[in-house]
Amino acid sequence: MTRPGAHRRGFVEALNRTFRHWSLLPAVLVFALLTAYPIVNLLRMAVSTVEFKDGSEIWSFTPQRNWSQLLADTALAPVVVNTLVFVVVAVAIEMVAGLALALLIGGLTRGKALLRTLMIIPILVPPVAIGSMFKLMFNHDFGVFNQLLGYVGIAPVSWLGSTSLALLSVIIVDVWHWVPFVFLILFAAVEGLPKEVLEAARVDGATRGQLLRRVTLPLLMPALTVALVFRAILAFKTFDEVYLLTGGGPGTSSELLSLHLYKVFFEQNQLGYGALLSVFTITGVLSLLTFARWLTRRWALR
Amino acid sequence: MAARGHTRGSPALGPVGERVASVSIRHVDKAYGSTVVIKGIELEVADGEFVVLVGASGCGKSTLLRMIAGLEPISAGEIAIGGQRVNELEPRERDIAMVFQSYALYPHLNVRSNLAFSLELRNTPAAEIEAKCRQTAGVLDLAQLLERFPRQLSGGQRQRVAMGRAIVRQPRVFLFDEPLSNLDAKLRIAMRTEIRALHQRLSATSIYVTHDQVEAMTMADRMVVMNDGRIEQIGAPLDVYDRPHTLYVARFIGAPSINVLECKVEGEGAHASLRTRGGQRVALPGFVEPGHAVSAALRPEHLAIAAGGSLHGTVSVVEHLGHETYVYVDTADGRLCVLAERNLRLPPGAPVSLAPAVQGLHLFDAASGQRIEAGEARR
Amino acid sequence: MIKLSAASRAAFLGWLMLGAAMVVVVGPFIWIAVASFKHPIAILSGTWSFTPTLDNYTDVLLSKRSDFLAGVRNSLIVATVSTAIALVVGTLAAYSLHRFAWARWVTLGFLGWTLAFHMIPVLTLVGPWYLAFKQLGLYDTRLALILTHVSVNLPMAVWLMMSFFRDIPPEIEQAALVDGCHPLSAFWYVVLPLVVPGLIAAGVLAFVFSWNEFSIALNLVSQTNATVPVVVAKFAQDYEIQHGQMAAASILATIPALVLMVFGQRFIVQGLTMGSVK
Repeated sequence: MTRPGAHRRGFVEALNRTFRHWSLLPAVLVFALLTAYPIVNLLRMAVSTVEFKDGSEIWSFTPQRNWSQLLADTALAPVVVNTLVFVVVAVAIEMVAGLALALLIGGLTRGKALLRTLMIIPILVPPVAIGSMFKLMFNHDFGVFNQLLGYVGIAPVSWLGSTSLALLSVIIVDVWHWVPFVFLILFAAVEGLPKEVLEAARVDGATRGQLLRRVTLPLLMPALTVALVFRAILAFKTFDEVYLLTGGGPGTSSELLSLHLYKVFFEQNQLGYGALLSVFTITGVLSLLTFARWLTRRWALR
Repeated sequence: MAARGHTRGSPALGPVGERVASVSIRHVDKAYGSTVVIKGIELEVADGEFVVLVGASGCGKSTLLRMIAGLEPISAGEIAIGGQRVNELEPRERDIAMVFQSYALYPHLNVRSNLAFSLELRNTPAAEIEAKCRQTAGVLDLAQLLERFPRQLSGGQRQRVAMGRAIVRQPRVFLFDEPLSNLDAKLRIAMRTEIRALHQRLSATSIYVTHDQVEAMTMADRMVVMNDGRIEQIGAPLDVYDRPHTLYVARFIGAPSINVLECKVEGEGAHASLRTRGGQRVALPGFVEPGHAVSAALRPEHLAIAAGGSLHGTVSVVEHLGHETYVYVDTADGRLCVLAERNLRLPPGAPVSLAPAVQGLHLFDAASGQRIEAGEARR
Repeated sequence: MIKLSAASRAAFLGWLMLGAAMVVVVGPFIWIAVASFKHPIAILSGTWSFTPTLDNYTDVLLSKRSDFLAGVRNSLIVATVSTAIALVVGTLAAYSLHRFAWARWVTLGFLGWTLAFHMIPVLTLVGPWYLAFKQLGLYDTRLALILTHVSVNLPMAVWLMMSFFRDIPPEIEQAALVDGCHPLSAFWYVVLPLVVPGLIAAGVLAFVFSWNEFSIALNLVSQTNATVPVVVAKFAQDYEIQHGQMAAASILATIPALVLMVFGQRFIVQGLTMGSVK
């Protein structure tokens, strides 16, 4: 056993023995430094005011000021309402459409692979590009939507410029973006349904409607629940498309939570208030998540 | 698990009654695109008969069953149940019940709901559903399990629920698609007798698919041996066993497998005999024209270890099964299996001679595999 | 007269809906692609017959006013590096959690944290990140983007690789150990080759999501280090909206996704669906 060899062997031995630990360490470090630490900072910021003087930060402890800023934020209530409406409506449409597509395409004998490939496209396109694409399509003067309306004799509509339609336009874009996602999850589930159970139901006398209601849908419940929970919680993160499409306007008619956070942080530069808002948002989302998981667990035990 | 009497008396679940439940399969083909997988099936199943479709994997027996059920479209020919053509009918319109290999129980429903499912689909009154479920559960010893879910049941229990689901509907025809394949050996034997007893009580027409020739032999009124999409032979088990029509049937039915010797007819008249490829001699049971290439088949029970026999070899392996003993002998024509005396002990390598029983000799044309009746003049 | 059975009618309706779905999915791209080849006047008048031009594309790619190519370079660097890091860190972590029986609180805590972090709006953290990076002098650097992108993509990488690891029969790893392999060697020589599809799936998804990432890039870097989405947004934000360039930029920004989709389709679907069904 020569000395250099012993060193190398010893090193490799040490690596092997500690593999268990150093394999998990990098991830833990990343999360600790880049997520846990910022969240702690967030809590600090939520009760402070941060000002920049001559390139350095000045922190002052001002919980009341941040809180009163929250109360004085007239845009907050409409934003929350918008976000809730957005999440409920968009997710509902996406679930129904995604399920319908999954069942339809699942029933095909040919072309499934091609259709599935097409369905991936909206998920991979940069949301910013989706926003800019639809911004062009929603254009009042030359956009394709108003063109189509013109073909059936309806006057051009201001999709992005009217307070009543702006949120709807955002919902339309979100639906286009995310129905394929719901579809992929449900399609995988539909493909995974036990064929013989469905055949047994057909032999037992089930019509197509009865088969769907009494066997297919109950068996799809786990996947439906996952898709719903996932999509609903992720819907709160929507930012890119809204930023591009309307910037929250006109007024605050299409402003969603993430966009509002952005404005508070980076347009109004109210870091303290923004942090407070962030803390509330995070708490809200996590409570929803916990509630949803509790719900799915209860369902799974039935 | 001992074979308990799962089938108990219950008057309301007696014979199906006057509904004629014969099944006719005429000129049926099945093709996927241009590939023909089933060719020219002709089969008549009488009312109340237990018919077993048996064959190796891929022979088309399950496909045929599924065509009877309506789960696969029929490419050509006609299938009729009770005299009525069913080619265009959906499965639910054919008044059949099917027991699947994987049992296919509804995982989201408990046992009671599984049994009641088909009745609920037809809007049967709740009282009647309850009564029928209770009876069926009683017959199959499922009363304790009604509230359980399929995932909480053992394989044997699931199998009984699957059968219960079929019975509760009192259909014209029962279809079984290898229902015992997923059970362990002892359970399989127990369930075999249960299914048979159930059939005798219900007297319902049953078509049963299996790859296990023992199941076929023990359960069938008539067996249908299938190979490569065609029927090789139809007949009662013992008839098929004693007089296989083709070499394939002879090989497939019977365990241990029949011994096959490739031979040529040599000699003329009274001196004619079979000379095997290994150079050994077997006596002919009758006239077969000289020079004919023949596959001679002998079941283990038609070979005996006796001095002076025409076949010679050395002992390879001796298997004591308890009630029987099989001796495997290496000869110039390969390894032959002989049913020997129960207490026989022979060391490996011991030289033995075997005497074939001429009356148990089956002859098949070496090229076509078709049975040759010795003594008939062949061109 | 052809009598359509119920099954045929249902099939026809199904095909109809599918045709509609296809139009809806692919339609926008076609419309935008067409617009990207139009002169500004043609766009505004909304005609279908026009003389195609490459001006929009040349303007986006080559003109001095445009940062598109610089954006592509930045996006490539950030996406490649962050994907590589996320893959390495994520795969190691996933294997560690899967193979080395950590205490329940460790596994649940780690995975729960990744799930929670995946769910909260990214913008809630951009604020503290902004401050932190400014303090570290990393504001407006590609490194800042790389680090944040790694943390954003890590949950997906871990979850995805864990499901792939779970699909490997334990007997294979046990056989390697019995044969005398150390855990690290078993991982490197036996397990890793078996999860290559997972690596590809996670890699493709991480790359695409990093490429597409907007909210962080918008706020943590200035124009010099802008990524493609930020550059595209600029086209839509400018005072005089350049519609043709906007269309061209949108199409160009989508190309990586389409390319990866052609090559990695199978893996992508696996990744997207497995990540959620856990």
